[in-house]
Amino acid sequence: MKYLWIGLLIAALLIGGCFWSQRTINARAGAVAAPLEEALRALRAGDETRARELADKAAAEWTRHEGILASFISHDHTNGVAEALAELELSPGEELGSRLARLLKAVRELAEMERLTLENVF
Amino acid sequence: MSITVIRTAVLYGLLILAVRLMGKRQVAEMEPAEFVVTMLLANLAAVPMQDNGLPLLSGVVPILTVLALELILAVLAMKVLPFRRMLNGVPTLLIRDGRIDQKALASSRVSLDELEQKLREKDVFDCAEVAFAILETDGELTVLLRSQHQSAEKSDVGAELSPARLYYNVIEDGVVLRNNLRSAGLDEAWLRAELARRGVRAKDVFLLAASEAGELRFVGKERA
Repeated sequence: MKYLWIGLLIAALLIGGCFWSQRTINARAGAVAAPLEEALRALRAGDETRARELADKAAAEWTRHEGILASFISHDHTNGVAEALAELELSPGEELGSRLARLLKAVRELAEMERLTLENVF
Repeated sequence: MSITVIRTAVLYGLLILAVRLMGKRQVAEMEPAEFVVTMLLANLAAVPMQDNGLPLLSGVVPILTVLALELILAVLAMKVLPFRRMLNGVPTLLIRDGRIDQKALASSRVSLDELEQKLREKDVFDCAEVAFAILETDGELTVLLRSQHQSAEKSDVGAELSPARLYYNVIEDGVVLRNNLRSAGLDEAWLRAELARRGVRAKDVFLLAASEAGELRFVGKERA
């Protein structure tokens, strides 16, 4: 019976870990996505300076959260986001909007990948 | 490179822990579920060991999941007979009184060649000598020969019977094993006296084994 308890304990830790990881990834990816969404809105309103400030804020949030996110998500995806953020800084004005949109999509996908959906399971 | 070393060490330690928790059967004859688990564990650990781009958790989590499932299912299989049968199958009688059960052979998907090979591995060269041959759930063939073909035992020939002895290693490679000393019903005073009698110290002994009846097996260390 000792081993049954050990098995159940490990199973409980895994299930708890699943909920925790999903919440953590959602929260941290969301923290990076929020300034990116605001930056897109600012750009659509014609305020490129504000958009770039918010993009820098997103980059700072990414630096804060990248370590934890890379513990759960393949480094190919996290490195992709890091590279896109770096390129954003040097983007000329006419490309800023499309790059912001692609980056936002990539960050949202990080959280999407962890969601318990049929698409992700299969 | 240091990252690969650390990741490999972590996964290796986890595998050792997992196999230890799953028990001795995992390294002996395996039931089908146990075989699957063993194959899975090896592959689950290998990929994140080699690919630093994958989070370590992508190896740790599946291994822990397999371990948890194996522990829970093993206990369920032990307590619930129908579940055990579903998981492991049932033994199949292939030979009775020298006659091969062809239906049982076909349903077990064992060919005649394979059956004869398994019999030869048990030193049986004639099916007619077999009283019962059972294909166990781990794929092993258990054979009981007919009485007239079985080897004689000591009691059959009236030979003198001596009780079976278990030897405990009390010194291994110079190290005194105190638990084994106690299990053999001996103590350190006895050990000191025995070593003094032989003119050696514990660290000069490669192996000293003792039975409860006081019989000893002594091997001294070879000088370099």
